[in-house]
Amino acid sequence: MKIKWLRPLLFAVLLLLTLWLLQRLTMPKYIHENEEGVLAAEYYDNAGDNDILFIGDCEVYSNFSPITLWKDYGITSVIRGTPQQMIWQSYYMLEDTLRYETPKVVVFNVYSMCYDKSESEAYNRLALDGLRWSKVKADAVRASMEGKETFASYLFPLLRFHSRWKELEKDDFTYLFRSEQLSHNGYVMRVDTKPVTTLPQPIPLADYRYSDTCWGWLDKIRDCCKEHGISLILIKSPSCYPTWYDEWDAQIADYAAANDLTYINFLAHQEETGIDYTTDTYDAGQHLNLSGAEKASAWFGKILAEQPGVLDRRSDDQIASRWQEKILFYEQMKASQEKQLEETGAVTSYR
Amino acid sequence: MKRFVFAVVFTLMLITLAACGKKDDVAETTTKPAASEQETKKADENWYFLKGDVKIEIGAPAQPIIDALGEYQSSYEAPSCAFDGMDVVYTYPGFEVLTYVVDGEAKISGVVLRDDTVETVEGICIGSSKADVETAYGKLEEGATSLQVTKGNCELLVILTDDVVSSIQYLVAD
Amino acid sequence: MSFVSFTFWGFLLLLLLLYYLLPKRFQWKLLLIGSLIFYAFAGPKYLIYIVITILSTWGAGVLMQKHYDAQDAYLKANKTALSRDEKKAYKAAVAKKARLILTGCLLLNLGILAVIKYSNFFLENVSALFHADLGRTSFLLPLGISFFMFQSLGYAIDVYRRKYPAEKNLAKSALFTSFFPQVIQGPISRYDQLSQTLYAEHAFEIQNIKDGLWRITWGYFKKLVIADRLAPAVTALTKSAGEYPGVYVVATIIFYALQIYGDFTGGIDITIGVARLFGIEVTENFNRPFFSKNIADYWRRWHITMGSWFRDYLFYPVSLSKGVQKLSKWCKAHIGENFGKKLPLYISTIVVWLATGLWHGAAWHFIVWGMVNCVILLISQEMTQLYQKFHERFAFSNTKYWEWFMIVRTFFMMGMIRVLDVYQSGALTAKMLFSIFTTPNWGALFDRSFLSLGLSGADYLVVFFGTLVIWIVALIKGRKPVLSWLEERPAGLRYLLFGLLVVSILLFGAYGIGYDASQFIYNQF
Repeated sequence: MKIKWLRPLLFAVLLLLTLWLLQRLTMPKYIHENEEGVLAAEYYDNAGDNDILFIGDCEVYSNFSPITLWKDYGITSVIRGTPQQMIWQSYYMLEDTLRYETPKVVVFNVYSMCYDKSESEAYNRLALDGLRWSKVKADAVRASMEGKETFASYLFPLLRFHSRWKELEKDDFTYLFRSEQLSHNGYVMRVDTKPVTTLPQPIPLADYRYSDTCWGWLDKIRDCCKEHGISLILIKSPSCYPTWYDEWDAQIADYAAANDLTYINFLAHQEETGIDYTTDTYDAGQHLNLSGAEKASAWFGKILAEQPGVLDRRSDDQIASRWQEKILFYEQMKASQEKQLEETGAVTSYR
Repeated sequence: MKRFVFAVVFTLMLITLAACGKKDDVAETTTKPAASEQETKKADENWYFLKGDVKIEIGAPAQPIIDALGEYQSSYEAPSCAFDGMDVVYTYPGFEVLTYVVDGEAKISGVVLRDDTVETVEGICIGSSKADVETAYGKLEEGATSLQVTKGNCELLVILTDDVVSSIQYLVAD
Repeated sequence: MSFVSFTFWGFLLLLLLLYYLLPKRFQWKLLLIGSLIFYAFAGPKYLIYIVITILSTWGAGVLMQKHYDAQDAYLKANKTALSRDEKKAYKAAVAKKARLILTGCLLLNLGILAVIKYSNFFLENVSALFHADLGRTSFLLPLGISFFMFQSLGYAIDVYRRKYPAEKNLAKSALFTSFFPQVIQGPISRYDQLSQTLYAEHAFEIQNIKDGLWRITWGYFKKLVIADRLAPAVTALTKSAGEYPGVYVVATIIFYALQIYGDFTGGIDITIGVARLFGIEVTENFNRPFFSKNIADYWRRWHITMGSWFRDYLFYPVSLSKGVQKLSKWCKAHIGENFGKKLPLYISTIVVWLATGLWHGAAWHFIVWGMVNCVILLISQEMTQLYQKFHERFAFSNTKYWEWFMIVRTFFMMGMIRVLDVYQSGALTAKMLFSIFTTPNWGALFDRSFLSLGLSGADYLVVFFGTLVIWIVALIKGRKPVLSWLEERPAGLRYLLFGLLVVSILLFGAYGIGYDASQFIYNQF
């Protein structure tokens, strides 16, 4: 009996191992292309003792620098943002974070309130593939799937990425079992500048009301924070395009007032933050560059530092030494990008 | 010999085919795709905006249209997050053309009419009356302040303020 | 529920577990429930069609059997009392009743098929003829209707012919019609064959699971690696056919041949494999069709069950029918002995191919397709003696090379006929085939033109090596059944081959996002 089952068992193990290796091989590595794909997974390296959690889309991972918050206020913070992150994905990022730590403050950028269904499969992948498996991830996948996506393809990404065998590159082999750090506790740095010259006129909408779906998710974020004793701060990040409509702003302001939440529209605090859209953005107003992100963070830090439970942790040696390493990486990347800028006139690689 | 037979058979085959040709043409246009179970659906014509003799249609390749429209007043580029591709807004007198990148090619994703110097093919412009809109595109729902009509892959959105057209947009239909 | 879906695998796994865990007497009942659920997945409203077919063929069978049983009892009881003529008259009366029942059953089923499958074709052509607009109907074709209906009608005709007694149990009859692995794309099984294993009690046997899995995996390989990968190229080549003349038409012939081969034979492999998991033997539908030496040979090897259905239930009845026999006799007397003798063959061949064409779909190009097949077959038939003389005279015609030449020739000849499917017009097909000679455009082979058909160089490589594998397997199959061949290999090699097959499907299969989940082509007939 033992012998009879040994062979099939060995075969099954070998087959699964091969498939697992092929899966690793074919999954995009996000090292030199679509780099933001590594963000979701990078969180786990930074989890543990963060007082602040930012959730949202590119408007959080481009516009706020946890390093500045640390340097200026001793605040520990992490950003869980991915490109085009939907509000339900932000909710599940919050849930997922709670599996590792309980921040004192959650900052949610409300721009994604205008999307009530996933925009594209590719963005879903960026947000979800990097999450560690748990019920939270399963729920996040189910909430996000659109069109022809299947749950199985998240469980076994080989089913999704198998065709990449045709386009395998050196990176796919080099980074088979490891990755390369991109972010600074979730912040994606860019030092170059492309000033705002003109902005397109806002395009009127037929209906400015947010959908019930999105309100439902916002309620869930609110309730989850409440349940865990977390202060929730709603923000509209300092990006001046795509358009942030007054009608949207009013709805969020009303919601915040009704629920006793802080709401900060950064676009309305341009003077205080000191953000100058001729020098502080790298793509004409959609995302801030390093100088913009540092300005936004420096100003926001004052508000965050006053939140209950948020402490200056610079006196904690253990934490401080970890952050010292982060600062080092931050400075390195900054130097590297500045060098590129000087030599070629553009930033072609983050690292 | 076999070659000869083959040639004869082949010729016969072609003759048979040619004889049926005409009827086939009828069948071709009416039963395609024959293998499909779905009702045959003739491709709907899209809503489109006409500027001079330049036809601007949602989903059409953008470059020839942008070239044909001549110089624009300004443009605004918005790169997509993470992925390659650029959304661009081109501003012309009276209207804007929006483009996005699909499969590596820039396509028209929207046209927004901004003033009454331009009008839709159906003769509606900013400032037209509700009655004119309803004549051109059909009735608005009770109490509605906008009308969305879809044709092909284009959604035409007409927004009214105080019963007067305040915005006209050609958008990608869902 | 497509074979290429996780839903199907979940369904199959659950059904298998229950099948072998429940007491064996429940096995076929479970299969019936499973089959109805499987069919209902396509849309519960379609169940009505299959239910009508089930009820009508079962009812007709039982009714006919009742008359036959009564006849047998009566004749037995009055064995000596009745004269020969009386017996004959009595039998004729019973046969008439049975014929009436059968006719009713055929009319009902074929009537439904005619209305839902052919009414638009009819309306369009009548409209075109009279320059009127008769409008269209909007029936959606129930999945696999041409398969399960023909299978059940075959059963009814067999009962009428007293080939075997009718199935009295409605549920068993229902399972015969709706057995899920084959309900959507065949094979068109015969009751006397399928029923032997369909209702039997099956103990769990690892061999069945092994064989079934091999067969299923092989089917997925053909479907996903070859057929679905070629699909975009075939679509591109035929959607705007005008842009792709000459060498592209040759490519269309080859690609579509491979696509339909992978799709249909792959689908049948899955069907047979799935049935095998349950211990049930479903009849083969192919026998290395691309090794056919002529078109008649091809039709004995491709979609065998359809061909034999038409042979048994249409060709023979037509050629032996009173009308045709009378006509043949008249012709023998008035036109010529030889012509008269052959007339029944001609008539029934034409009828069969007209029907075969229509069976594939309600469109003129399918009729043309049937007629071209028919004409070639009849001409070949007429040339039989010439062929024989040719073989006697020329020694080379008996060599292996000549055999290969015939195989290649038949492949291209069938390919040229087959592209009618995809060009969807006789005139266009003729034009495109002519373009091979008028504008061959061989240069396209050497520039990068073929890379703009939706397939990259890597895709072509996959197709090439995939086809090579299929070809090697076919060569093995020519000697002995592939599963027996495998059994004789060392276990290590078997595992390696199976592993490679699984890996290549998962890696090289054209499935998932970026590929349209391709429906099996024959599901639509």
